[in-house]
Amino acid sequence: MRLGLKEKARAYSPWIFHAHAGGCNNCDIELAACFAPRFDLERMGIQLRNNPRHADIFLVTGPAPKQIAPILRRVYDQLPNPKVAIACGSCAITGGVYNRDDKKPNYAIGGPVEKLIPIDVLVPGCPPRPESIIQGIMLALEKLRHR
Amino acid sequence: MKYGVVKLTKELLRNAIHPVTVNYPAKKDLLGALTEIADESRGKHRFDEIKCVGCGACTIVCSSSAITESDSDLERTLSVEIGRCIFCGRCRDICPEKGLELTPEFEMSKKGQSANDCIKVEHSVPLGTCDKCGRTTFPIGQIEAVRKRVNEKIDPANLVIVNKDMEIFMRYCPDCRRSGSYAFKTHPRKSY
Ligand code: SF4
Ligand code: SF4
Ligand code: SF4
Repeated sequence: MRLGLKEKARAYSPWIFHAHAGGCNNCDIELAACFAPRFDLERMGIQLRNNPRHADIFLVTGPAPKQIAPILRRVYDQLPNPKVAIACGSCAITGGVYNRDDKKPNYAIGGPVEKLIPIDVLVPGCPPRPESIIQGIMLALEKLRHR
Repeated sequence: MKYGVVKLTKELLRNAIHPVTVNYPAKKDLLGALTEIADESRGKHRFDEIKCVGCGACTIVCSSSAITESDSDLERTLSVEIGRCIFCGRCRDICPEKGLELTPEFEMSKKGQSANDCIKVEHSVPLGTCDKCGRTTFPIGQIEAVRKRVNEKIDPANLVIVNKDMEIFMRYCPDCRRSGSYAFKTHPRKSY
C-alpha cells in the first residue's frame, strides 16, 4: 500500500498520552527511562504530553481498578481520531499478578484494559524493558499510518 | 570556571566517540554493539526439549498463574502466557530437571486486540498409559526421572527389591496399583 503525504506526516511526530491506571508504578518508571538520554525517544519526534486532546497514542499501564475504569474510557474518547492504544505491561494486558485467575477475578479490578477500550498493541513484561516499549511504539506507528 | 569547561569538553569528546544514546533497533557501530543486555536478564521462556520431563512443578509455583498444563490423550502441554508472566524466574528456580530457561530475549511486543494475541511459549511431552486399564497416567520422562532419583537416594541394601517393585508399579495408574497390589506380589513394605 502506497502512503500519501497525509499518512506519512501523521506518523512523523506522534505525541503520547500516558494513562496510569493502577499498577505498581514500575512501568511508568520504565516509560520515563524511554525519554531519558539513554533511550531518547524524543530524537524520533515522539513526545510525552499531559493533555489527551493533543495526543495520538494512548499508552495505558496498570490493571485499571474499578475506580479508574470509567475515567479511562472517558479520557480515551477525548483523544482526537485517528488514535492508537498501547497496553503496556503484563497487568494492562491480562491483569498479571493482580488478576491471577480469570474465573475468579480480583474484586478491585475493573479491567483488564482490553475490556474497557480497544487495544492495538500489546507490550508484555513486568515491567517491559525500555527497548520493548520503543518496539511497541514503533508497531503503534505502523498502525497509525494506516488508520 | 575553567575547570568546568575542560570537564565539559572531555564529556563532549567522549560522547562524540561513544554516544550515551543507544540505537534502536540495536545496531553495531565501530565500537561494537551499543545495546548491552545483562546475561541474567529475564525474558522469553525456553523449554529444553530433552530435559523438561513435564512434572508440572513450575505451574504450581508460578506467581501469576502464567504457566498452565493441559493433558490430552497422548501428551501434556505446558504453555506460558507471556502476557500474564511477570518474569520473576520462580519457575526456572524450582525446576528439578533444569528444563526451563529464561532467555534474555525481550522483544515480545505484538499488534493485537486482546490477550489471546500475545505470544505463548508451548512445550509438549508424551504421556504414558496404564498397562491394565489403558488410562493415561504420567509423562514418560517423569517416571524415568523418579526412578533415577530413587536409585540415587535409597539405601543400597534395598536397591534390588525396590527396583523390582518399581518395575511393576510404574507401569500402572494409581487406582490399578491400589486394587492390584496383592496380585502383583510386590514386597510388603516393612523393612524400608
Ligand atoms: S505490569 Fe508489572 S511493573 Fe507494570 S505496573 Fe503492572 S505490576 Fe507494575
Ligand atoms: S521439568 Fe521443569 S519445566 Fe518441565 S514441567 Fe517440570 S518444572 Fe516445569
Ligand atoms: S517467570 Fe514467574 S510469572 Fe513468569 S511463568 Fe515463571 S513463575 Fe510464572
